[in-house]
Amino acid sequence: MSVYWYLAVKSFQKNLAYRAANLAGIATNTFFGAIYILIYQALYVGRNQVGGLTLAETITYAIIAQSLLNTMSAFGNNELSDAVVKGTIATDLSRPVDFYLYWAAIDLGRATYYMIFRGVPVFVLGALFFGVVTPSNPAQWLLFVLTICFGIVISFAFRFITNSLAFWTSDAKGALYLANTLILFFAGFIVPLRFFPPALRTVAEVLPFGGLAQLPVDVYLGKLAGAELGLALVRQLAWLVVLVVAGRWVLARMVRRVVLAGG
Amino acid sequence: MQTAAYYLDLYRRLIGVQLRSQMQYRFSFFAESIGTMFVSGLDLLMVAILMTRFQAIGGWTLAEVMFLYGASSVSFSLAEMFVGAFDDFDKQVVQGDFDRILLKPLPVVFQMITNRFPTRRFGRLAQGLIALVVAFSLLQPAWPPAKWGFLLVMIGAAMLLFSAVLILGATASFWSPQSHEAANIFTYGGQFMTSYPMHIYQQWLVSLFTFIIPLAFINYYPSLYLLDKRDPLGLPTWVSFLSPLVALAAFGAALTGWRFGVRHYQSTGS
Repeated sequence: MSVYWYLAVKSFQKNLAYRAANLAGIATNTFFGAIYILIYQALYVGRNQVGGLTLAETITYAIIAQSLLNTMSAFGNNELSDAVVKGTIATDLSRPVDFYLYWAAIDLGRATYYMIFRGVPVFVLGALFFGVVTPSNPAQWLLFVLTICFGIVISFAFRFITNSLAFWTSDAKGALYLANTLILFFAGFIVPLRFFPPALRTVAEVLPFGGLAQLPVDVYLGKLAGAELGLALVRQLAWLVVLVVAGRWVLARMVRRVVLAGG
Repeated sequence: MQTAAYYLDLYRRLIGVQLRSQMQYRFSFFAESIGTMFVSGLDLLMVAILMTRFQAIGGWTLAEVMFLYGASSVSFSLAEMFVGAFDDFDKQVVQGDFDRILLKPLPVVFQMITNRFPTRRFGRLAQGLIALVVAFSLLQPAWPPAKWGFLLVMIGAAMLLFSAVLILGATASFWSPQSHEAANIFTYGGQFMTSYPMHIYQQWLVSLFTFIIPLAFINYYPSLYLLDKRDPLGLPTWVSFLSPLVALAAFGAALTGWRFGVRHYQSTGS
């Protein structure tokens, strides 16, 4: 068994221990989802379709977005930068493993946990309370899961780069805050990108974050087809590769200059 | 028993210490304030995007919703500055920091509100004020002085109400520190849902947030009077003026609950 697989499993199991916290989280995500849905129901009065979405589709959107929040670490995850600031990074760096894959394994284990034990319950509860549109085609389900998996890696690769700021300055909290804001907003977690004003929508389409929420939901709802779908998937995959390569490049540079404050 | 003047002076000095210590990290202070402004500004952006797309919600316009949002946001940020230490109380229980407070010869609540002053909340305050300014410039209100006075009363009462909710959320940590995230339902969730007119929610939710956890008094009922709106649920107009009383009652209840929690506190021993 590969050491990275083992790390991912351990990280998955570590999260399993926080049962009460997860139940509280499920309640919170479901509550926020419900408020979003009630707001949308009031907004849609007298309208059939807005931005290409019907009310039922927007409700589905809100439920999926809440289900994916923690899987995608939409509120940020500063484990890496904290480890740098505290100095525990010294032990991590001296392990005989690939530092990038080490953190990737830990994060993917965490994300998988959240997908199963947070995402699925929130989705099921939302579907029970408010009803969701379900894909007619099994391929949509498959693509839905696939785009989520790609999104998880994009989320990790992006956060790895922003967290690496801590290697340059121990004062990076504010910058990380801003980076997290980008994820939340431009992924479509707050408002579907389809509701954005055109100019803002164009910006959002160029950025990698749509792959974390907007794209999986679009695929789920069957909003993309043919060349459009192909292009969206290629773009997501391209961002994934770019961010991973960039992250490894940053890592190679910063390891050389890291000064540790005797943790 | 010490006099109020003694505590006021001590409050001023302890908060001064907090401010000075945080100003040692000047870059972080500004970066975090700006970061907080953007993060909490996302909800403002949501209001702006949705209201320009959809024009109206439950008969309320962009400007009116902006007013609700600004009032709720400003009072929530003031509450966070006032009783911010309660917001991460679960961590203080888990790490055993709360034991230190119990050992010092000052009232527990007084120590809680002076042992942390989250200055980065200035960011939330700033974007809330921006929302209010936008709302006022759109509404162009020709209010008599009484209404401006009542606006201040409303914000003060809302701050007390949010403080009560934050304290109650912390109180739950005495029994179950892990469940702290659920407290977010009423704190952050409360701020979120009070950004929109309350009557759009289902009847049972409105009742819950009127009678049990009176978040509807934060801005919705007072705003009916300020913005001359009619309540579709047909409540009499004097309900608008109840918010200071409701706020005081809620704050008192929260403190009682908190004291009950302190008496049942068992240290984690770490």
